[in-house]
Amino acid sequence: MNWKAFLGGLGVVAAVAGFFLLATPPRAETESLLQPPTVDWEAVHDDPDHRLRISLLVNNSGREGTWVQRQMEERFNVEFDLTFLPAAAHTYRKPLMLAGGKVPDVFIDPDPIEVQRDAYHGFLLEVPHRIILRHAPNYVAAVNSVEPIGWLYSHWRGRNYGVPTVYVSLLLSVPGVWRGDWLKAVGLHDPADPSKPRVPETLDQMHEALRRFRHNDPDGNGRQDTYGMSGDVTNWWWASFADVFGAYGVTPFDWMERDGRCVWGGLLPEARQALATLRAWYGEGLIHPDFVTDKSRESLHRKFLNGRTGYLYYDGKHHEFDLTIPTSLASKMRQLQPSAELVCGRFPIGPGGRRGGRVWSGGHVIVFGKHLAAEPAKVLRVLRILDTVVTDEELYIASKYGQRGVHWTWRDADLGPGGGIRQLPPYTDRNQQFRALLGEMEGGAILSPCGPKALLDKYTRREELAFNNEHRRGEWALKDVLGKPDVVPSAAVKLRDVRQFQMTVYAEIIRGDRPLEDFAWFAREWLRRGGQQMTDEATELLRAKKRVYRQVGVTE
Amino acid sequence: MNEPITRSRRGRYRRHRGLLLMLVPGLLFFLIFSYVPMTGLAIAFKEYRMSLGILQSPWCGLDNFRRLLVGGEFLQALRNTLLISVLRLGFGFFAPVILALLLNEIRVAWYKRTIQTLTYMPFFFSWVILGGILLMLFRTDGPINAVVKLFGGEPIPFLTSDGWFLFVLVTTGIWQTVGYGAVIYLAALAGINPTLYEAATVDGAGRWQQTWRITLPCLVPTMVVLLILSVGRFLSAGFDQIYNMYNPLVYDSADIIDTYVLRRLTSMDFSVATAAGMFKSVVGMMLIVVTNALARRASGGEQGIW
Repeated sequence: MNWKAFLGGLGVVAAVAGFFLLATPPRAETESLLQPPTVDWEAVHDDPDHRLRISLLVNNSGREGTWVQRQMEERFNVEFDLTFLPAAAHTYRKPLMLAGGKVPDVFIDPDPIEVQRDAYHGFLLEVPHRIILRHAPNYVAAVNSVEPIGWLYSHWRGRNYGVPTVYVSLLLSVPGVWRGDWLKAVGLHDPADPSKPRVPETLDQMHEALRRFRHNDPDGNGRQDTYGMSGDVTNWWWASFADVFGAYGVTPFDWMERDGRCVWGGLLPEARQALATLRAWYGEGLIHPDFVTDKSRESLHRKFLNGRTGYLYYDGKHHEFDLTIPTSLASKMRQLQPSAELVCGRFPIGPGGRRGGRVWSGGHVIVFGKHLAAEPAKVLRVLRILDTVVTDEELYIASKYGQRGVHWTWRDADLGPGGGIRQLPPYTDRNQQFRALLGEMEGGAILSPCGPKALLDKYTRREELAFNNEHRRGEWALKDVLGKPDVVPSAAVKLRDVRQFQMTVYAEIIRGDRPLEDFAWFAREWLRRGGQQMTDEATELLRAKKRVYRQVGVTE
Repeated sequence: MNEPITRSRRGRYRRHRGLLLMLVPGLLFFLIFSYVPMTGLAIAFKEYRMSLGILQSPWCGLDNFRRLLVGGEFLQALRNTLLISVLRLGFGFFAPVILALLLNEIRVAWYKRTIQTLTYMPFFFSWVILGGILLMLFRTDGPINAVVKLFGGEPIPFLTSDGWFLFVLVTTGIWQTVGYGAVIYLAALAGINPTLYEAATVDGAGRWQQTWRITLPCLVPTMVVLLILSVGRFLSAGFDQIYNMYNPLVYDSADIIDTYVLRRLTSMDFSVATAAGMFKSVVGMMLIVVTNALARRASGGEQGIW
């Protein structure tokens, strides 16, 4: 070995290390740098006549200078500096953007895990609850009336770091879709009207229908090549088999409350019962064996659309049956299997009389860059925008759908709002909508979040409201008691690993690779691998929730 | 005494100035893209906060490494990485050599070219595409299992049982890289002095003996270099391939260091991710040094990359 070169290299390493040692300030100093700056909010005044320039990160593609942007700018006397970051790039590119020093004035963190990380890394400005209440009382009331759990998402270590949003429709549970023609082909007719299929209402009826799909050749091709249903693992934790787990009243990848404490749904005896059912069904061949290797909802859809499976969970939404929408499930099915008949199911009732499916509760969090401590008036302006958007109905629609007659019109001129809104070409196309910064009823691109439910209902078609009442009732919605599972602080480090572990064990149990008795071992192991710490934090958050709710005026 | 040496050294620099200038872009490249970023390894010893930057973030000693080793997930990922790498090296290292030898024996030019193109083509496809195709081929009701069923067998759980999944990983990994690896050996084969073969033929050596006594010994230096290089990548067990092909049932055996690091990175847990990455690099470096030393010792100082 060339010792001279080796020592030289060592010298360079030592020099660099020395430089880092000398350049790093003492710990006490960095701690003070990380303390959120304090703003004397009482002294802050926002003069509406003063034009503000606000930089905003839009979590989508789009372009600047659209009609929607101009409307908002004129109305609130601001100039928006927009940056666009599509959702797919969000996880990877946003951290780079922030680390590179480009922190926008206002941006939206989709999940509590991101709010916490951004706060930990020192990017966010603390905004006390009372300031939000004072400057956006109507917005707070709207959020609280829909789902106040979002206040936990913006909460970290006793401080509030932003304004939560809500989504009305995400609070509605989504049932599965059945192949009506298959149900009839295997002899399941509606007793009242034999021309209609009998859609399963209970878990037993569902089992029978799936069994016949497998064994009674519903497509009549003489081969046993059909299955009851399938799943996909990527979205498993929120979308696969949640109807079966729901029949036992449990959401396996969420926090649930038992006797005032938080427990992980997946460890409960009810989850074991649901697993036993799925395991039995898999053993009978009712679940497609590739459910565990399929990585997207698309492959799940493909199996249904290609006539491999006869039941598809989590697509029972009104617009999926609309043949005028080219991307709806019904339209795709019409193209591939013209004779197929789709019927929306209802959540199967379990042995204990329970039914339902997991829903998302709460939305995202609108957060403010820490540098706004120097310009806190911008925060107040944003709060005013939010407050106005949810109270001014005309602005609410304009900031989401654009200009009537150009971007949209009434679906039914006689009914007006009650008939629903229809986009005009070319804005029927998703990409054109994004480019023009158009959104939907529950969110526009520029600080235009979802409003109160009554407002949304007013602009929803009567048929859709009736559909929702029939298939997606609020009482069937199973919520995480803390809203989203990643709201506990150590989720950033633990959740992905234990979730992965849980999916592995669940899949093994369902497939019969592992005995059901291993469930007890799984529960212990889950707690050991970091679940215990998360559970403790979750119970603590359950208490914090009461405090936070009191501060924002929620009465439970 | 010193004076003439300095002058002659300066003279040498002047004489090769053109060549030295040509070195500059390459050196700059490595400096900017490899050496300067290496200083970022400081993150592994710090409680990194993005808003403070690398320099200002507080030190935390070996906390990140401790977190890495305490969790259990990393150790399992390390075990999996080692197993997959051993399998890949054990079964995959000689595959390109054998392919190159076989190709070398083919005398029909068009046939040789066709085989060569077909074997190295997979190297140019991304694993995103290959993963999709292979998942389809190997699934329970896929074409490969259809053949198995045709011969009366039970469908094989290629993708869902740990053992079979490793089998699929290793074989498809070899399939993807074998043609490309063979190109290097073919080049080495072309460099063998034909007079050696002529002399051997005169001495009455058959083709088998020629391969054994001339071709293989002539390939050894190339093999040693490639071995040292692949040992350096020992702890990178093929992220692209695994990430595109694994599923929950095989997480236990297919979660490697790189997939672990990715999970840490997407949770913005940069310090631990860097610690894991640094661990990987240091071990890789040590493996290279050790292998090189062994190669030198075994060959009496003739082989090795330095």
